[in-house]
Amino acid sequence: MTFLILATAGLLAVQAALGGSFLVLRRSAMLTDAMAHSLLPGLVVGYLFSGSRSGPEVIFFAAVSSFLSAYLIDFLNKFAGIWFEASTGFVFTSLFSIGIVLTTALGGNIDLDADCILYGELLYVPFRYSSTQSWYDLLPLPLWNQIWVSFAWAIFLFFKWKQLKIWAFDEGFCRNAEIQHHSIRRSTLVLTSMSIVVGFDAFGAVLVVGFFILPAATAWLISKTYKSMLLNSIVFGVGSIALGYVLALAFDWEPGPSMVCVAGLNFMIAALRYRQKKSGSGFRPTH
Amino acid sequence: MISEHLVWIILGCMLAAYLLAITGIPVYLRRESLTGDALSHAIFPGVVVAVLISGGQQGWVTYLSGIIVGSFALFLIQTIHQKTLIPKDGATGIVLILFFAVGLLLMGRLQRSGIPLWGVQHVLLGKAATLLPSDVFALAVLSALGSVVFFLVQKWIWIEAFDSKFALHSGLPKNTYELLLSAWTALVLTATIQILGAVLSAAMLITPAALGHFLSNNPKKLTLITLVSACIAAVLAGFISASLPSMSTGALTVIMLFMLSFPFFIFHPTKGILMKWVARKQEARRWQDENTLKQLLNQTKIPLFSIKNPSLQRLAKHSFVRLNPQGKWELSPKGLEEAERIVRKHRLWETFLHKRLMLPVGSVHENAELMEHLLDDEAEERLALDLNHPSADPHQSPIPPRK
Repeated sequence: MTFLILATAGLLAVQAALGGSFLVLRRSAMLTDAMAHSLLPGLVVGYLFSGSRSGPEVIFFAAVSSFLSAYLIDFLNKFAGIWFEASTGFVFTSLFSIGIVLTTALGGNIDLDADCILYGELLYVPFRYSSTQSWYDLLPLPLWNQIWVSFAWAIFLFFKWKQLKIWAFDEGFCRNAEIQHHSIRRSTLVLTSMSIVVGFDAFGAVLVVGFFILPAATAWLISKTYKSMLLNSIVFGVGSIALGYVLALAFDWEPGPSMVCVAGLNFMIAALRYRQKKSGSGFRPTH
Repeated sequence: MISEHLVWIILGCMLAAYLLAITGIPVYLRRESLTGDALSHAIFPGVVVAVLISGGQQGWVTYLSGIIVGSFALFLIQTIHQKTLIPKDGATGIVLILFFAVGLLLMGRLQRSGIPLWGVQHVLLGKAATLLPSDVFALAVLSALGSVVFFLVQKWIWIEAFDSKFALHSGLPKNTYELLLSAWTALVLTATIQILGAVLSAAMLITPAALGHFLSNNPKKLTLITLVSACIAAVLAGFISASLPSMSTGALTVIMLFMLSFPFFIFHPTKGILMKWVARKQEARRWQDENTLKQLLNQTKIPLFSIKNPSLQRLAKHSFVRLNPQGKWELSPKGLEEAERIVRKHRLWETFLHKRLMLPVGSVHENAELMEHLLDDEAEERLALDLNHPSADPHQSPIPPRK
């Protein structure tokens, strides 16, 4: 049981470490926070279609709505000239409000309270099966979701590794080297929105946003190359999940926030030990 | 239908919206919009502790702990950003999620120990219905204080937003200013977070100022638009929630603000997305039409000269071209004049490139293909004057005289 929870959370941490590294390097870390908020209207629409709080429709619509928010943020920033951070704040809060009003409009039917948004149902993960009476019942549903999305990330990284690396460091160079950086950004955001939604479904918003930002930022401080940054952020992510879960069991804490706190503590230690000139670690991508 | 209780709620929402909007102007102009979002989440552990101490009564304990935790969070964001290579938005995200998780951990632990925490659950989504007259009074005092301070220091707000280095040289105590602003923002968010919720307070902090700045660069107009739009949205939302009592007033206010501002972003006559798109489209059509006229003048037979060619249709509508009795397109006198004007610009520019910039004859045509659409009449006249009214271009084609 513990193994199933940790495996599901670990896969999320791996995806979040990959996606988070690109977004932190590309100065879009707050985009994950925005995307995690703006999946709410999609969640409600999906609920209207399927009648359950977690199903393929819900995941599809939530991912679409979360990706659209990122798209709309870029769109307003580019074409209406609204500052990026203001555009981010405007779009995700509006979508979040629409989601809240839709939820209340449906009455008490939808099981969507604050705790559920924040914590998800981490401890229920091992008990959620697809109930189709087939081989799909071998593993819990959230774990299957994580496996599929991780698989998508792996394919993307395998085929686009070089372009991703260049994009993460130097968007201007992409333009000169005729690399389609718009489509790379879009693909990354699509995969990110899928990870966010699948993670949100299992663990709630706080854990997802925390693991997108914290391990990647920690790894950035101590790594000297890009590959080691990715590997370090995966190690930190999975490590924080395991340690946070153990601490939560030991001290009777909420597991989700406890994992995020461990990751945050990890960052703080790295930041305190960080010396900009002496160690020469860390690298600075261009704007 | 509108009870006394509802009047208090509408009044409270309006004051909260006003307070957040007036605080949001400097925050937005300093390009720290997301700091507002981070702060509204980061003060959560402070609120939990305050509720633990005061037993759920909003009072000076709540405000004080909000200021302390909020200022500490902003200090951490600054420090992380300055001491490491993490960019500002990364640092913001780190502090936001870490503080919020600490708050959740604290809240969960206390609740499991059986300690009741009244009102903490409203921090996420807000609960305007629990507004008491005393809360409204506190908001009114804060709004009055905020307005007075805003109008006293507004000169510095504009200077600082416009040019922070200049502000430093003209005597603004930058550190004190930043400290006071962050403490004030934390206080305002603490006061409004339980009414509107964390996310929605952050929205009300940013969106009115963003709308004001989108519509005007004039400080007075910007302030006016910001404050008025926030108040209108809050009052409208208040009245809607009067007929739909289950709706969250905060979320409705944000949606009203969205509906007020989004049409401007799209349909604004000069800055709107739609108008910019239309302008680009028109420009592209003008280039296409001018090229068509040129082709007709040169009698180049191109199969796209069918009757359905949209460019020809447009030109025919303005009687630049007409169908001759053989069923072929030809230039009208007006069209001939226009076509010669474009050819003249093209060839004058070619001559200029060749004679003045010493470009070889073979490489002047491409550039002239672009410049013929961009030169205005005055520039054309000056070019002709500069080149002593040449009669032929480098390819020895005649330059049509100016009519």
